[in-house]
Amino acid sequence: MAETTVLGLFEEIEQAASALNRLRGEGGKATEDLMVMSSVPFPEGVLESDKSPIRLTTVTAVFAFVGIAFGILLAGGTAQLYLIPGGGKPISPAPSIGIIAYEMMMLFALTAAFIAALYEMRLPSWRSKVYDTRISEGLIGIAAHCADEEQAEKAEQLCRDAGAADVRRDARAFE
Amino acid sequence: MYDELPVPLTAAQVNTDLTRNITQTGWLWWAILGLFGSVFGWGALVFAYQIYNGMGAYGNNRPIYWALPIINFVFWAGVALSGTMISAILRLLHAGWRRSLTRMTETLTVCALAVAGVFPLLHIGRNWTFFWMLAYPNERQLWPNYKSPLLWDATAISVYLTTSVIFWYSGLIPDFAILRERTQGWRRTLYTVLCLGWRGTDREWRRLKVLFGILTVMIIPVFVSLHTIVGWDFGMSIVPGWHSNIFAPYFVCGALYSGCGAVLIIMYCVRRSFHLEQYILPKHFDNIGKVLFSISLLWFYFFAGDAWSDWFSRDPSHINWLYFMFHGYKWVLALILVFGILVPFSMLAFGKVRRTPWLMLLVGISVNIAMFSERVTVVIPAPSRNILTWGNYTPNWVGISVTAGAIGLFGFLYTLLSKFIPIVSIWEFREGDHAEGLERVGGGEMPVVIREEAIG
Repeated sequence: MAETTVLGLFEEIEQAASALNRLRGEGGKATEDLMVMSSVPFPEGVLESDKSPIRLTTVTAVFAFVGIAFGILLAGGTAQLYLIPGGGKPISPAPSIGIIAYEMMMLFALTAAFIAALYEMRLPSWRSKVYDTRISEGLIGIAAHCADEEQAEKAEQLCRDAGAADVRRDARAFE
Repeated sequence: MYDELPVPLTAAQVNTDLTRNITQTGWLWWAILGLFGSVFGWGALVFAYQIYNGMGAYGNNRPIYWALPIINFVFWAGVALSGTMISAILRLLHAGWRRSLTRMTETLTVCALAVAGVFPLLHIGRNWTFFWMLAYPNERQLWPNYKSPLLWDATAISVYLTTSVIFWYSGLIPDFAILRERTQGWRRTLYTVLCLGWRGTDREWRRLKVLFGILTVMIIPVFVSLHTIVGWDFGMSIVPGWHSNIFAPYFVCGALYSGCGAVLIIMYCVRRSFHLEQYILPKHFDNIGKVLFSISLLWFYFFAGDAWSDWFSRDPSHINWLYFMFHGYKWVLALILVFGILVPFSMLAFGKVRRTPWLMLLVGISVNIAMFSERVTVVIPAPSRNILTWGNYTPNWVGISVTAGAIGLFGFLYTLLSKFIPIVSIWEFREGDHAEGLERVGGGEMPVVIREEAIG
């Protein structure tokens, strides 16, 4: 049998948490084979299936420095390319370079944080993936990626035992 | 006031209520859009007249070169400030009551900043050469002069607009996914594209939280920098009355003041128009009212400090602008004193007033009348006397039409966007269901909140 995903839909957080624990324990599912889906975020640790490292702060910091360098080149470098003497001030005065470098730092850092977040979220993604429209209406989805029929049947049973409102199989891509 | 905790609603009910503005279109929405569109259209026609006749059409002349276009620019940049600020600061402080307000205030920033960005383009006169402000390689090897605060301004506005749109859009992605499931036809296609394939997985939520942590912390200095730079447009010049150290914080404070007033106006209009009385509660008006009261006192301190320091110096060149303010522009000064000080102080001090939405609408309008007048007294009196010339400025029909056109453009953009986005953030509101509740303590029920760190 081809790989499939069992998707359990839960009305209550406690039920979803119970299903997640059972799938990990009795079902022997690894973290990367489980996925929680909801239309609202939960406080950290309540329903957690993802343990992958988040590098957004590092990306933000790196691009902040890139932005500073760009700002210096933009305000100070272009001034050296076309000299405009004015009011006894230097051709590339530090205050104006500082302001532009500051603005570019913010622009690069925040734009990079956004793009990196999308990259780490694996968005945009136009492929058809495991999902159920009832999740957007408040149900909590626990998806278990199963390699064979035996695993799938066990996962279905564990979800039902935990109090799932519905359990179904989804042949679409897991991630 | 514990009696005003939101009534528990089901997820489906919240989804239905908060997407109603998108799924149902009444005649009133078209009428409002048409009204704002007509006013904006008139402003655009008058702008075309100005292009044909030159900048003199506004009535600006020696020595007053900066008139209504720059007054409008400073005013709208100020209105734009508080939207993202309120959202960012309340997120940073984990204020649960923010959930009903963040989206509408962020949308306010995006629309107001779009309007503000139009005015420097109007103001440059030869509008068709606006791209000369951009740094791009060209055949004559000319580059923009970054020693000019006006170019800092263009840069800061571009950065604030870009980052505000990122902030706004990041929060919209989960709501677009909900709309994807609740719409049909071309709208479904639109939201499928806009939500980028969001499913609400743990992986996605974790990163969105961290992203918001970063955006929240970093966007606060961005809007402060924007308004200090707007202040430096004047402060960096050598015009007496403009050349002032106080302008940077004074402008930030003024922007907070007008922006919070605009937030009150938007809160009332959104609540009334989309029947969101269950979501935007009197306590929200009360809280914003308290913030506004505090800012009003701070703004008054800066306003008085600006005039006081110039008057006390006895430097003739610095007293001239005060002379103009108390003579030629005394009616504008009166508007500031009445609408910026007397009305807000006398109303915001009372809890009952702060919890009455229509009275808070009046306060918001009052504050913005005052702040527009304050922008007039910043821009006009100081250059009214220079070494060679004395002058005065009276707005004419062109300037007034373009000013009205700006209000029309703002209203048009906001009304239009309210048809495409949930104007109260659905996921944030529903997140509160899990994070907030009532706990029995002794003889009463107390609200309890789960608090998380801002940056994960």
